[in-house]
Amino acid sequence: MPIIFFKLNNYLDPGTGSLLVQLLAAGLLGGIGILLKTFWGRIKAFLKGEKYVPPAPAVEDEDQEDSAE
Amino acid sequence: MSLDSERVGASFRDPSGFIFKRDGVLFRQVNQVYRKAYDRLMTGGLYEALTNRGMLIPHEEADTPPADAALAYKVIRPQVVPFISYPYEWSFSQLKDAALLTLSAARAGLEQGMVLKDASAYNIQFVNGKPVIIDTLSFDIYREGAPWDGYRQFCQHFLAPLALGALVDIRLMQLMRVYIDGIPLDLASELLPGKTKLGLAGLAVHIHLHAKAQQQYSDKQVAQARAVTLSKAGLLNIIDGLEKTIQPLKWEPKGTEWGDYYHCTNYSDDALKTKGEIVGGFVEKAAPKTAWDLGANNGLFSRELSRRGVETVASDIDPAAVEQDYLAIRANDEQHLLPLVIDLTNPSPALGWAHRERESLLERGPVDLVMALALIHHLAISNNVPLSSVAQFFAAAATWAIVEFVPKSDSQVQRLLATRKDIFDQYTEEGFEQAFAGCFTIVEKAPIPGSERVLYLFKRK
Repeated sequence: MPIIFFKLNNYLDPGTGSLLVQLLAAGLLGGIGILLKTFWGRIKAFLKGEKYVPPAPAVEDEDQEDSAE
Repeated sequence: MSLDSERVGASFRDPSGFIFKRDGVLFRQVNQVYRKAYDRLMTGGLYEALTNRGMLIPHEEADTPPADAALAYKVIRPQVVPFISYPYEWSFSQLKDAALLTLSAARAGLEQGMVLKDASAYNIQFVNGKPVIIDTLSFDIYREGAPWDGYRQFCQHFLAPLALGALVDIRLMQLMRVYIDGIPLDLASELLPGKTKLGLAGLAVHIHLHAKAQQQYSDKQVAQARAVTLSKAGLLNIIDGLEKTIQPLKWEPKGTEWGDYYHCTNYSDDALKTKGEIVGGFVEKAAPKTAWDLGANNGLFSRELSRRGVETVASDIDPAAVEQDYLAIRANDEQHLLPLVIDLTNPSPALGWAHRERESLLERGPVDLVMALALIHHLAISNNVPLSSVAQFFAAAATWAIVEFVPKSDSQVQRLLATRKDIFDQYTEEGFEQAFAGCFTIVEKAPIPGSERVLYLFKRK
Protein backbone atom coordinates (compact mmCIF):
# COMPACT_ATOMS: atom_id res chain seq x y z
CA MET A 1 0.00 0.00 0.00
CA PRO A 2 1.41 3.41 -0.86
CA ILE A 3 2.10 5.75 2.00
CA ILE A 4 -0.43 8.55 2.04
CA PHE A 5 0.09 11.65 4.06
CA PHE A 6 -3.18 12.86 5.48
CA LYS A 7 -3.36 16.55 5.53
CA LEU A 8 -5.71 16.71 2.65
CA ASN A 9 -9.24 17.98 2.79
CA ASN A 10 -10.22 17.09 6.34
CA TYR A 11 -11.52 20.06 8.29
CA LEU A 12 -11.46 18.21 11.60
CA ASP A 13 -8.10 17.67 13.18
CA PRO A 14 -8.14 13.94 13.72
CA GLY A 15 -5.40 14.24 16.39
CA THR A 16 -2.14 12.34 16.27
CA GLY A 17 -2.88 10.21 19.32
CA SER A 18 -6.35 9.40 18.00
CA LEU A 19 -4.87 8.22 14.71
CA LEU A 20 -2.53 5.83 16.46
CA VAL A 21 -5.26 4.46 18.72
CA GLN A 22 -7.32 3.77 15.62
CA LEU A 23 -4.66 1.35 14.48
CA LEU A 24 -5.02 -0.58 17.69
CA ALA A 25 -8.81 -0.35 17.66
CA ALA A 26 -8.79 -1.63 14.09
CA GLY A 27 -7.13 -4.77 15.36
CA LEU A 28 -4.04 -4.25 13.27
CA LEU A 29 -0.76 -5.46 14.63
CA GLY A 30 1.03 -2.36 13.36
CA GLY A 31 -0.90 -0.33 15.91
CA ILE A 32 0.43 -2.33 18.82
CA GLY A 33 3.94 -1.83 17.47
CA ILE A 34 3.57 1.92 17.24
CA LEU A 35 2.03 2.19 20.67
CA LEU A 36 4.71 -0.02 22.18
CA LYS A 37 7.24 2.26 20.63
CA THR A 38 5.37 5.24 22.01
CA PHE A 39 5.42 3.95 25.52
CA TRP A 40 8.79 2.18 25.19
CA GLY A 41 10.58 5.02 26.94
CA ARG A 42 8.27 4.69 29.91
CA ILE A 43 8.48 0.90 29.96
CA LYS A 44 12.28 1.01 29.87
CA ALA A 45 12.39 3.58 32.62
CA PHE A 46 9.98 1.53 34.70
CA LEU A 47 12.03 -1.66 34.32
CA LYS A 48 15.20 0.15 35.22
CA GLY A 49 13.48 1.80 38.17
CA GLU A 50 14.25 5.27 36.85
CA LYS A 51 12.09 8.34 36.47
CA TYR A 52 10.77 8.77 32.94
CA VAL A 53 11.96 11.89 31.15
CA PRO A 54 9.97 12.60 27.98
CA PRO A 55 12.09 13.24 24.89
CA ALA A 56 12.18 16.71 23.39
CA PRO A 57 9.53 17.09 20.70
CA ALA A 58 10.86 16.41 17.24
CA VAL A 59 10.99 19.41 14.94
CA GLU A 60 9.10 18.59 11.80
CA ASP A 61 9.69 19.98 8.40
CA GLU A 62 6.30 21.40 7.39
CA ASP A 63 7.15 21.24 3.71
CA GLN A 64 7.03 17.48 3.71
CA GLU A 65 3.32 17.40 4.08
CA ASP A 66 2.02 18.01 0.65
CA SER A 67 4.92 16.59 -1.28
CA ALA A 68 4.24 13.01 -0.47
CA GLU A 69 1.58 12.12 -3.00
CA MET B 1 -28.58 40.80 -6.47
CA SER B 2 -29.16 41.70 -2.88
CA LEU B 3 -31.23 39.02 -1.29
CA ASP B 4 -31.56 39.12 2.42
CA SER B 5 -30.00 35.93 3.69
CA GLU B 6 -28.67 35.22 7.13
CA ARG B 7 -26.00 32.63 7.71
CA VAL B 8 -26.84 30.37 10.63
CA GLY B 9 -24.42 30.89 13.51
CA ALA B 10 -23.52 27.26 14.12
CA SER B 11 -22.67 26.62 10.49
CA PHE B 12 -19.09 27.71 9.92
CA ARG B 13 -16.68 24.88 10.64
CA ASP B 14 -16.95 22.73 7.55
CA PRO B 15 -15.87 24.46 4.31
CA SER B 16 -18.10 22.06 2.33
CA GLY B 17 -21.04 24.42 2.76
CA PHE B 18 -23.25 26.19 5.24
CA ILE B 19 -26.82 26.80 6.33
CA PHE B 20 -28.58 30.07 5.69
CA LYS B 21 -32.03 31.44 6.22
CA ARG B 22 -33.93 33.47 3.65
CA ASP B 23 -37.48 34.71 4.22
CA GLY B 24 -37.76 32.29 7.10
CA VAL B 25 -36.83 29.28 4.97
CA LEU B 26 -33.76 27.23 5.76
CA PHE B 27 -31.36 26.43 2.92
CA ARG B 28 -27.99 24.77 2.73
CA GLN B 29 -25.39 26.03 0.29
CA VAL B 30 -23.16 23.30 -1.12
CA ASN B 31 -19.76 24.71 -2.03
CA GLN B 32 -17.67 23.91 -5.09
CA VAL B 33 -15.05 22.17 -2.92
CA TYR B 34 -17.68 19.59 -2.01
CA ARG B 35 -18.94 19.14 -5.59
CA LYS B 36 -17.46 15.68 -6.21
CA ALA B 37 -18.57 14.33 -2.86
CA TYR B 38 -22.07 15.76 -3.25
CA ASP B 39 -22.50 14.25 -6.69
CA ARG B 40 -21.24 10.92 -5.41
CA LEU B 41 -23.64 11.06 -2.46
CA MET B 42 -26.60 11.80 -4.71
CA THR B 43 -25.85 9.50 -7.64
CA GLY B 44 -23.88 6.69 -6.00
CA GLY B 45 -26.85 5.31 -4.05
CA LEU B 46 -25.90 6.46 -0.55
CA TYR B 47 -28.40 9.32 -0.32
CA GLU B 48 -31.18 6.99 -1.36
CA ALA B 49 -30.08 4.22 0.98
CA LEU B 50 -29.89 6.57 3.96
CA THR B 51 -33.05 8.56 3.35
CA ASN B 52 -35.07 5.39 2.67
CA ARG B 53 -34.04 4.10 6.06
CA GLY B 54 -34.80 7.43 7.73
CA MET B 55 -31.14 7.95 8.64
CA LEU B 56 -30.48 11.16 6.70
CA ILE B 57 -32.74 14.19 6.36
CA PRO B 58 -34.16 14.35 2.82
CA HIS B 59 -33.72 17.51 0.77
CA GLU B 60 -34.65 19.06 -2.54
CA GLU B 61 -32.36 21.05 -4.77
CA ALA B 62 -33.58 24.64 -4.77
CA ASP B 63 -33.59 27.34 -7.45
CA THR B 64 -32.94 30.13 -4.99
CA PRO B 65 -29.64 32.02 -5.54
CA PRO B 66 -26.78 31.01 -3.23
CA ALA B 67 -25.88 33.15 -0.24
CA ASP B 68 -22.22 33.20 -1.27
CA ALA B 69 -22.14 32.87 -5.04
CA ALA B 70 -18.34 32.84 -5.30
CA LEU B 71 -18.13 29.52 -3.48
CA ALA B 72 -21.40 27.94 -4.46
CA TYR B 73 -22.07 24.74 -6.31
CA LYS B 74 -25.70 24.19 -5.37
CA VAL B 75 -28.39 25.26 -2.94
CA ILE B 76 -30.53 22.60 -1.30
CA ARG B 77 -33.61 22.88 0.88
CA PRO B 78 -33.60 20.24 3.62
CA GLN B 79 -36.80 18.95 5.19
CA VAL B 80 -37.64 21.11 8.19
CA VAL B 81 -36.77 19.84 11.66
CA PRO B 82 -39.58 20.98 14.00
CA PHE B 83 -37.30 21.74 16.96
CA ILE B 84 -33.51 21.80 17.18
CA SER B 85 -32.33 20.08 20.35
CA TYR B 86 -28.86 19.47 21.71
CA PRO B 87 -27.14 16.41 23.17
CA TYR B 88 -27.02 17.97 26.65
CA GLU B 89 -30.82 17.98 26.53
CA TRP B 90 -31.19 14.33 25.58
CA SER B 91 -31.91 11.42 27.84
CA PHE B 92 -29.55 8.46 27.95
CA SER B 93 -31.31 6.40 25.29
CA GLN B 94 -31.67 9.38 22.99
CA LEU B 95 -27.90 9.87 22.99
CA LYS B 96 -27.33 6.14 22.67
CA ASP B 97 -29.66 5.88 19.67
CA ALA B 98 -27.95 8.89 18.10
CA ALA B 99 -24.56 7.20 18.63
CA LEU B 100 -25.71 3.94 17.06
CA LEU B 101 -27.22 5.85 14.12
CA THR B 102 -23.89 7.61 13.56
CA LEU B 103 -22.07 4.27 13.46
CA SER B 104 -24.65 2.70 11.13
CA ALA B 105 -24.35 5.67 8.81
CA ALA B 106 -20.56 5.39 8.84
CA ARG B 107 -20.84 1.73 7.89
CA ALA B 108 -23.45 2.40 5.19
CA GLY B 109 -21.15 5.11 3.80
CA LEU B 110 -18.19 2.76 3.52
CA GLU B 111 -20.34 0.26 1.64
CA GLN B 112 -20.90 2.96 -0.98
CA GLY B 113 -17.34 4.24 -1.06
CA MET B 114 -17.94 7.21 1.23
CA VAL B 115 -16.72 8.03 4.69
CA LEU B 116 -18.54 9.89 7.47
CA LYS B 117 -15.99 12.66 7.85
CA ASP B 118 -17.22 13.93 11.19
CA ALA B 119 -19.16 12.40 14.05
CA SER B 120 -20.68 15.36 15.81
CA ALA B 121 -23.66 14.70 18.05
CA TYR B 122 -24.94 18.11 16.93
CA ASN B 123 -25.42 16.67 13.43
CA ILE B 124 -28.22 14.53 14.81
CA GLN B 125 -31.76 15.74 15.44
CA PHE B 126 -34.93 13.99 16.48
CA VAL B 127 -37.80 14.04 14.02
CA ASN B 128 -41.00 12.20 14.90
CA GLY B 129 -39.32 10.40 17.74
CA LYS B 130 -36.35 9.11 15.77
CA PRO B 131 -32.77 10.34 15.39
CA VAL B 132 -31.75 11.50 11.92
CA ILE B 133 -28.56 13.01 10.48
CA ILE B 134 -29.26 16.58 9.41
CA ASP B 135 -25.88 17.45 7.91
CA THR B 136 -26.15 16.42 4.27
CA LEU B 137 -22.49 17.33 3.75
CA SER B 138 -21.15 14.85 6.31
CA PHE B 139 -19.94 12.29 3.77
CA ASP B 140 -16.73 12.48 1.83
CA ILE B 141 -15.31 10.26 -0.85
CA TYR B 142 -13.48 7.39 0.81
CA ARG B 143 -9.79 7.11 -0.03
CA GLU B 144 -8.27 3.69 0.46
CA GLY B 145 -6.02 3.68 3.48
CA ALA B 146 -7.41 6.79 5.14
CA PRO B 147 -8.16 6.56 8.86
CA TRP B 148 -11.41 7.93 10.29
CA ASP B 149 -11.16 11.65 10.96
CA GLY B 150 -14.31 11.55 13.08
CA TYR B 151 -13.03 8.94 15.51
CA ARG B 152 -11.92 11.31 18.23
CA GLN B 153 -15.08 13.37 17.89
CA PHE B 154 -17.21 10.25 18.16
CA CYS B 155 -15.50 9.23 21.39
CA GLN B 156 -15.89 12.73 22.86
CA HIS B 157 -19.47 13.39 21.72
CA PHE B 158 -20.99 9.96 22.29
CA LEU B 159 -18.88 7.34 23.97
CA ALA B 160 -17.61 9.45 26.88
CA PRO B 161 -21.00 10.86 27.99
CA LEU B 162 -22.71 7.48 27.57
CA ALA B 163 -20.05 5.65 29.56
CA LEU B 164 -20.11 8.27 32.30
CA GLY B 165 -23.92 8.28 32.40
CA ALA B 166 -24.14 4.50 32.56
CA LEU B 167 -21.20 3.72 34.83
CA VAL B 168 -20.75 6.76 37.07
CA ASP B 169 -23.68 9.19 37.29
CA ILE B 170 -26.32 10.19 34.77
CA ARG B 171 -25.80 13.86 35.65
CA LEU B 172 -22.31 13.73 34.14
CA MET B 173 -23.95 13.75 30.71
CA GLN B 174 -24.46 17.45 31.43
CA LEU B 175 -20.73 17.94 30.86
CA MET B 176 -21.68 18.12 27.20
CA ARG B 177 -23.05 21.56 27.99
CA VAL B 178 -19.67 22.71 29.32
CA TYR B 179 -17.51 21.23 26.56
CA ILE B 180 -18.83 22.16 23.15
CA ASP B 181 -16.72 19.58 21.32
CA GLY B 182 -17.61 16.73 23.63
CA ILE B 183 -16.18 15.54 26.93
CA PRO B 184 -12.37 15.61 26.99
CA LEU B 185 -11.17 12.03 27.06
CA ASP B 186 -8.64 12.57 29.82
CA LEU B 187 -11.46 13.84 32.03
CA ALA B 188 -13.67 10.88 31.12
CA SER B 189 -10.76 8.55 31.80
CA GLU B 190 -10.22 10.07 35.22
CA LEU B 191 -13.90 9.80 36.18
CA LEU B 192 -14.62 6.27 34.93
CA PRO B 193 -14.24 3.30 37.29
CA GLY B 194 -10.81 1.67 37.32
CA LYS B 195 -12.15 -1.65 36.07
CA THR B 196 -12.92 -0.07 32.69
CA LYS B 197 -9.18 0.28 32.15
CA LEU B 198 -8.77 -3.47 31.82
CA GLY B 199 -8.75 -5.26 28.52
CA LEU B 200 -7.61 -4.68 24.98
CA ALA B 201 -10.90 -3.38 23.63
CA GLY B 202 -13.89 -1.28 24.58
CA LEU B 203 -13.50 1.62 26.98
CA ALA B 204 -9.94 0.55 27.80
CA VAL B 205 -8.91 1.44 24.26
CA HIS B 206 -11.42 4.06 23.06
CA ILE B 207 -11.31 6.14 26.24
CA HIS B 208 -8.36 5.30 28.47
CA LEU B 209 -5.64 4.46 25.97
CA HIS B 210 -7.03 7.10 23.64
CA ALA B 211 -6.68 9.73 26.37
CA LYS B 212 -3.12 8.64 27.13
CA ALA B 213 -2.15 8.69 23.47
CA GLN B 214 -3.63 12.17 23.09
CA GLN B 215 -1.57 13.42 26.01
CA GLN B 216 1.54 11.72 24.71
CA TYR B 217 1.18 13.27 21.28
CA SER B 218 -0.34 16.63 22.11
CA ASP B 219 1.51 19.37 20.23
CA LYS B 220 3.58 16.80 18.41
CA GLN B 221 3.37 15.92 14.82
CA VAL B 222 4.78 12.49 14.35
CA ALA B 223 5.76 11.31 10.93
CA GLN B 224 4.37 7.85 11.73
CA ALA B 225 0.98 9.31 12.52
CA ARG B 226 0.71 11.12 9.25
CA ALA B 227 1.57 7.92 7.49
CA VAL B 228 -1.12 5.93 9.30
CA THR B 229 -2.94 3.78 6.85
CA LEU B 230 -5.99 1.73 7.69
CA SER B 231 -7.63 -0.80 5.44
CA LYS B 232 -11.38 -0.58 4.94
CA ALA B 233 -11.66 -3.79 6.98
CA GLY B 234 -9.78 -2.04 9.76
CA LEU B 235 -12.21 0.90 9.67
CA LEU B 236 -15.15 -1.48 9.84
CA ASN B 237 -13.48 -3.16 12.82
CA ILE B 238 -13.35 0.20 14.61
CA ILE B 239 -17.04 0.81 13.89
CA ASP B 240 -17.92 -2.71 15.11
CA GLY B 241 -15.77 -2.22 18.19
CA LEU B 242 -17.47 1.07 19.06
CA GLU B 243 -20.86 -0.51 18.55
CA LYS B 244 -19.97 -3.39 20.84
CA THR B 245 -18.73 -0.91 23.44
CA ILE B 246 -21.90 1.17 23.32
CA GLN B 247 -24.53 -1.58 23.07
CA PRO B 248 -24.07 -2.93 26.60
CA LEU B 249 -24.04 0.54 28.19
CA LYS B 250 -27.36 0.87 29.97
CA TRP B 251 -28.91 3.24 32.40
CA GLU B 252 -31.83 2.18 34.50
CA PRO B 253 -33.18 4.98 36.61
CA LYS B 254 -33.83 4.11 40.20
CA GLY B 255 -34.92 6.22 43.10
CA THR B 256 -34.91 9.47 41.14
CA GLU B 257 -37.09 12.34 42.19
CA TRP B 258 -40.27 11.93 40.21
CA GLY B 259 -39.74 8.81 38.13
CA ASP B 260 -42.88 7.35 39.64
CA TYR B 261 -44.64 10.64 40.10
CA TYR B 262 -47.93 9.58 38.63
CA HIS B 263 -48.20 6.77 41.16
CA CYS B 264 -48.04 9.18 44.06
CA THR B 265 -49.84 12.27 42.81
CA ASN B 266 -52.84 13.87 44.35
CA TYR B 267 -55.01 12.54 41.61
CA SER B 268 -57.25 9.54 41.41
CA ASP B 269 -57.50 7.80 38.05
CA ASP B 270 -60.80 9.57 37.45
CA ALA B 271 -59.37 12.97 38.24
CA LEU B 272 -56.40 12.31 35.93
CA LYS B 273 -58.83 11.46 33.16
CA THR B 274 -60.88 14.60 33.78
CA LYS B 275 -57.72 16.70 33.88
CA GLY B 276 -56.73 15.25 30.50
CA GLU B 277 -60.15 16.12 29.07
CA ILE B 278 -59.99 19.71 30.30
CA VAL B 279 -56.46 20.09 28.90
CA GLY B 280 -57.61 18.57 25.59
CA GLY B 281 -60.48 21.06 25.43
CA PHE B 282 -58.14 23.98 26.07
CA VAL B 283 -55.75 22.74 23.38
CA GLU B 284 -58.58 22.60 20.87
CA LYS B 285 -59.62 26.12 21.76
CA ALA B 286 -56.11 27.52 21.30
CA ALA B 287 -55.45 25.37 18.21
CA PRO B 288 -51.65 25.64 18.40
CA LYS B 289 -49.28 24.22 15.80
CA THR B 290 -46.30 24.16 18.16
CA ALA B 291 -46.10 23.78 21.92
CA TRP B 292 -43.76 23.34 24.86
CA ASP B 293 -44.96 21.24 27.75
CA LEU B 294 -42.76 22.46 30.58
CA GLY B 295 -42.28 20.14 33.54
CA ALA B 296 -43.90 17.43 31.44
CA ASN B 297 -42.73 14.49 33.58
CA ASN B 298 -43.11 11.37 31.42
CA GLY B 299 -45.39 13.17 28.99
CA LEU B 300 -48.80 11.91 30.09
CA PHE B 301 -50.46 15.23 29.23
CA SER B 302 -48.05 16.12 26.41
CA ARG B 303 -49.98 13.55 24.41
CA GLU B 304 -53.04 15.82 24.55
CA LEU B 305 -50.97 18.04 22.27
CA SER B 306 -48.97 15.59 20.15
CA ARG B 307 -51.87 13.30 19.35
CA ARG B 308 -53.66 16.31 17.91
CA GLY B 309 -50.69 16.83 15.58
CA VAL B 310 -49.16 19.69 17.59
CA GLU B 311 -45.33 19.66 17.35
CA THR B 312 -44.58 19.31 21.04
CA VAL B 313 -41.45 19.52 23.14
CA ALA B 314 -41.96 17.85 26.50
CA SER B 315 -39.26 18.98 28.88
CA ASP B 316 -38.52 17.92 32.41
CA ILE B 317 -35.68 18.31 34.87
CA ASP B 318 -35.74 14.61 35.71
CA PRO B 319 -33.67 12.45 33.32
CA ALA B 320 -35.60 9.37 34.45
CA ALA B 321 -38.96 10.83 33.43
CA VAL B 322 -37.58 11.96 30.07
CA GLU B 323 -36.01 8.55 29.52
CA GLN B 324 -39.37 6.90 30.25
CA ASP B 325 -41.10 9.29 27.86
CA TYR B 326 -38.57 8.63 25.07
CA LEU B 327 -38.75 4.85 25.47
CA ALA B 328 -42.55 5.00 25.20
CA ILE B 329 -42.36 7.17 22.09
CA ARG B 330 -39.88 4.75 20.55
CA ALA B 331 -41.88 1.64 21.47
CA ASN B 332 -45.18 3.02 20.15
CA ASP B 333 -43.71 4.86 17.18
CA GLU B 334 -45.31 8.11 18.37
CA GLN B 335 -45.16 11.26 16.27
CA HIS B 336 -44.84 14.99 16.99
CA LEU B 337 -43.35 14.57 20.46
CA LEU B 338 -39.80 15.35 21.58
CA PRO B 339 -38.89 14.76 25.23
CA LEU B 340 -35.91 16.73 26.58
CA VAL B 341 -34.06 17.09 29.87
CA ILE B 342 -34.27 20.78 30.75
CA ASP B 343 -33.99 22.43 34.15
CA LEU B 344 -36.39 25.34 33.82
CA THR B 345 -34.74 27.21 36.65
CA ASN B 346 -31.57 27.20 34.56
CA PRO B 347 -32.60 26.50 30.96
CA SER B 348 -30.12 25.83 28.16
CA PRO B 349 -28.19 29.03 27.41
CA ALA B 350 -26.74 30.30 24.13
CA LEU B 351 -23.37 28.63 23.73
CA GLY B 352 -20.30 28.41 21.57
CA TRP B 353 -18.47 30.92 19.44
CA ALA B 354 -19.97 34.40 19.78
CA HIS B 355 -22.89 32.74 21.64
CA ARG B 356 -24.22 31.74 18.26
CA GLU B 357 -23.48 28.05 17.86
CA ARG B 358 -26.16 26.67 20.16
CA GLU B 359 -29.30 28.64 20.78
CA SER B 360 -30.84 29.20 24.17
CA LEU B 361 -34.21 27.63 24.86
CA LEU B 362 -36.08 30.91 24.32
CA GLU B 363 -34.20 31.64 21.09
CA ARG B 364 -35.64 28.40 19.77
CA GLY B 365 -39.12 29.74 20.36
CA PRO B 366 -41.55 31.29 20.43
CA VAL B 367 -44.17 28.60 20.15
CA ASP B 368 -47.94 28.91 19.98
CA LEU B 369 -48.61 27.44 23.40
CA VAL B 370 -46.81 26.65 26.64
CA MET B 371 -48.24 24.22 29.10
CA ALA B 372 -47.24 24.12 32.75
CA LEU B 373 -49.11 21.53 34.75
CA ALA B 374 -48.22 20.97 38.38
CA LEU B 375 -45.18 23.16 37.86
CA ILE B 376 -45.95 26.58 39.30
CA HIS B 377 -45.35 25.54 42.91
CA HIS B 378 -41.92 24.18 42.04
CA LEU B 379 -40.91 27.46 40.40
CA ALA B 380 -42.57 29.78 42.89
CA ILE B 381 -41.92 27.94 46.14
CA SER B 382 -38.88 25.69 45.63
CA ASN B 383 -37.06 28.27 43.52
CA ASN B 384 -38.58 31.51 44.90
CA VAL B 385 -39.44 32.84 41.44
CA PRO B 386 -42.08 35.61 41.71
CA LEU B 387 -45.31 34.59 39.97
CA SER B 388 -45.18 37.70 37.77
CA SER B 389 -41.78 36.59 36.53
CA VAL B 390 -43.15 33.15 35.69
CA ALA B 391 -45.90 34.87 33.70
CA GLN B 392 -43.34 37.01 31.84
CA PHE B 393 -41.31 33.96 30.93
CA PHE B 394 -44.37 32.16 29.58
CA ALA B 395 -45.40 35.29 27.65
CA ALA B 396 -41.94 35.43 26.06
CA ALA B 397 -42.30 31.80 25.03
CA ALA B 398 -45.82 31.63 23.66
CA THR B 399 -49.13 33.28 22.77
CA TRP B 400 -51.21 30.80 24.75
CA ALA B 401 -50.61 29.23 28.12
CA ILE B 402 -52.28 26.36 29.91
CA VAL B 403 -51.32 26.63 33.55
CA GLU B 404 -52.33 24.61 36.57
CA PHE B 405 -52.48 26.44 39.86
CA VAL B 406 -51.69 24.26 42.84
CA PRO B 407 -52.84 25.97 46.06
CA LYS B 408 -50.92 26.02 49.31
CA SER B 409 -53.37 23.63 50.92
CA ASP B 410 -52.37 20.94 48.42
CA SER B 411 -50.25 18.27 50.06
CA GLN B 412 -47.59 18.55 47.32
CA VAL B 413 -47.12 22.20 48.23
CA GLN B 414 -47.24 21.39 51.93
CA ARG B 415 -44.38 18.97 51.31
CA LEU B 416 -42.31 21.75 49.73
CA LEU B 417 -43.10 24.06 52.65
CA ALA B 418 -42.50 21.44 55.34
CA THR B 419 -38.84 22.25 55.77
CA ARG B 420 -38.83 25.99 55.22
CA LYS B 421 -40.41 29.23 56.30
CA ASP B 422 -43.53 30.18 54.39
CA ILE B 423 -42.58 33.53 52.89
CA PHE B 424 -45.10 33.27 50.07
CA ASP B 425 -47.98 35.55 51.02
CA GLN B 426 -48.81 36.18 47.39
CA TYR B 427 -49.12 32.50 46.62
CA THR B 428 -52.91 32.33 46.46
CA GLU B 429 -55.36 31.79 43.63
CA GLU B 430 -56.06 35.51 43.66
CA GLY B 431 -52.39 36.45 43.77
CA PHE B 432 -51.71 34.04 40.93
CA GLU B 433 -54.43 35.56 38.73
CA GLN B 434 -53.20 39.05 39.51
CA ALA B 435 -49.61 38.15 38.66
CA PHE B 436 -50.62 36.65 35.33
CA ALA B 437 -52.95 39.58 34.53
CA GLY B 438 -49.82 41.61 33.73
CA CYS B 439 -49.21 39.61 30.53
CA PHE B 440 -52.25 37.41 29.98
CA THR B 441 -56.04 37.41 29.89
CA ILE B 442 -57.93 34.48 31.32
CA VAL B 443 -59.82 32.79 28.50
CA GLU B 444 -61.12 29.94 30.60
CA LYS B 445 -60.77 28.65 34.12
CA ALA B 446 -61.69 25.13 35.25
CA PRO B 447 -61.39 23.63 38.71
CA ILE B 448 -60.29 20.02 38.59
CA PRO B 449 -62.94 17.91 40.30
CA GLY B 450 -61.70 15.84 43.20
CA SER B 451 -58.79 18.21 43.89
CA GLU B 452 -58.15 21.76 45.00
CA ARG B 453 -56.31 22.63 41.82
CA VAL B 454 -57.43 24.92 39.02
CA LEU B 455 -56.59 24.85 35.31
CA TYR B 456 -56.33 28.10 33.34
CA LEU B 457 -56.26 28.84 29.66
CA PHE B 458 -54.51 32.17 29.15
CA LYS B 459 -54.00 34.27 26.05
CA ARG B 460 -51.19 36.79 25.85
CA LYS B 461 -52.25 40.45 25.90
